[in-house]
Amino acid sequence: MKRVMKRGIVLLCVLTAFSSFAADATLEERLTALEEKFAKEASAREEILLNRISELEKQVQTLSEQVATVKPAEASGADSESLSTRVSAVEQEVAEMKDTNEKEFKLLEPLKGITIGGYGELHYNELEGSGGAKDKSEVDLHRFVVTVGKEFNEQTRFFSEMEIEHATTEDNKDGDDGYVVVEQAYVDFDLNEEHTARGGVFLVPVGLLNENHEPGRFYGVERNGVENQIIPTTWGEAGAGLHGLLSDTWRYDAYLHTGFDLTSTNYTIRNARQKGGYADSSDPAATAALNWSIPGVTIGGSSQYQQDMSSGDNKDNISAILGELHTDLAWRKWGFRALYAQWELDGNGPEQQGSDRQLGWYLEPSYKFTDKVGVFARYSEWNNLAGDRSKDAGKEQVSAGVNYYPHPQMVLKADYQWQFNEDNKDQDGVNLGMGYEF
Amino acid sequence: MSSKPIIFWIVGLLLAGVARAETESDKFVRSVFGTVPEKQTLRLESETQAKIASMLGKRYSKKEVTYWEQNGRRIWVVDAQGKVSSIQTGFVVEQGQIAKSEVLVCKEDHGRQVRSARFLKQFTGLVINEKGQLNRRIDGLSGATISVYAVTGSAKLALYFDSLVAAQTSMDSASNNLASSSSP
Repeated sequence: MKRVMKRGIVLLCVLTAFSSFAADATLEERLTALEEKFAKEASAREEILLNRISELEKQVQTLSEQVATVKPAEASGADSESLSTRVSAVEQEVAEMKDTNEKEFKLLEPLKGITIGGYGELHYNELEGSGGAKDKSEVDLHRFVVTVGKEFNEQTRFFSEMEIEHATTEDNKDGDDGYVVVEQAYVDFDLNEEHTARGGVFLVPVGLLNENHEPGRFYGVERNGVENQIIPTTWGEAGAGLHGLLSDTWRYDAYLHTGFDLTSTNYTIRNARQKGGYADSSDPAATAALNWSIPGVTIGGSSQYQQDMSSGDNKDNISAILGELHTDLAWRKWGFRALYAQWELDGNGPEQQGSDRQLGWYLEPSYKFTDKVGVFARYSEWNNLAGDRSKDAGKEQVSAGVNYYPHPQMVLKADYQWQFNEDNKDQDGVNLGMGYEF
Repeated sequence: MSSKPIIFWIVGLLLAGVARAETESDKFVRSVFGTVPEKQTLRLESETQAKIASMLGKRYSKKEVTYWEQNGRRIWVVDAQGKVSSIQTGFVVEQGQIAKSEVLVCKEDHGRQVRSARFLKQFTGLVINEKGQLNRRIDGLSGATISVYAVTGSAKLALYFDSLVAAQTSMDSASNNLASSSSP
């Protein structure tokens, strides 16, 4: 029995071993099959990849050849055709947009050529009077100005300046009043490139400030005494004339216009200014000016003849003549302005008062540290009764101060003034101001 | 009256009209280049506009500017507002420097003297720095402050526009070089 069991076990073992051998053989077969399959797939993929790579290489080569040979503006083949269709589509769109723009623009044509500008000055004076002169402590919106211009065509332009002085036209507590005035309203017509005819109310071409009186263009809070009392800046008259260039450097102005009209027997020049409204035109005046300018240097002068300064009903015929010389220099950071003006009045009235001669002059050196900050000093003398030296009417003033430009079109000013008047009625003190122009 | 003189008049007027059709800027370009090359356009993006505003202290109303180019020289025609009218100035820019300038249109009263050769001579050789400042101070003309300011601002713009085109051109040529160097 034991033997039978032994044999059985052996047989079983043999059978098991055989069966396992048999199983091993099928595994190997499967592995080989798999290996073969993988190898085939790999070579197929490799072939595909290699093909793709060589295709890409070819493409890259053609592209680089194109880039190297084709100029930007040129194009060829199917791509360029589609490009050119796209470009022409864009062009068409742009043209359509331009058309629409032009149509819209035509609607706005009434506004074409119109310029609007303006300037203004706010002053604060803190002056101490001595020798009988009053103290002055006031804030004043001295000038508020709006300018309107219109370019009618290439040859014809209109320009106007309307001003409110001292903020209101109502009397203040001291009885001083402000006023509204049309300082300028004229038409310029170009005769050719060099010469222009002008008609209307315009500023007479006398002195440095009258035609360039915007606050950013001069030093000192208040305009200097000479170009206030001897040349009555801002000084506009109604008339007509010519201005233009004689060469690159010479400019001329020549006008016939309304003259002074004295309504009282105060013959001081500022009192006689008419400003073009209901102006008496029976006795016209004429002004001529000549200026030589190169960058940094202007030297010039002007002369005016008044046929009769007295009003129509005044029997005393008062003719007058003004002579004026000026210079405006800039060298590096330095600046220098100087002006001399003198009136000679004919007639008994002025002679008796001593106002038959009225004159003034000033010297004004300045220095600009930067475009934003400049300082100045000014010495000025003027006398509206210079015909009679015994009247002690001479005025003498020294000023020094600073202009600060936070923006090129805006200015803050501060100065100190000392007066040494012959009658000892002096006002000394501080002036502060701000101004703008656009 | 026979119709012949009328026809002559009409033809004459038409010819005069054609002659007048050439703008001041075309005349300037012709006087410098001897011919009028095709106009090119530089668009002013908002970034550029912001830079201009900081340079001039005010906004510039145009969305694009035109220029003419020949042999590395570019001509810029820039408009600026004067006191009563617009002032148009032409600048020839060569290698970032102003080589020539001419005021093409100026109807200003006192500003008209900005047309003088002596004034414009100051602009020759001017360059601009990164902040948009000119390398030299321009001497003004008494009584012509606004016009001087306008022409000086235009010079800054011309140089700035030119620097934009120059930068664009050098970028284009760099990328072209790159492309051609990569080809086998």
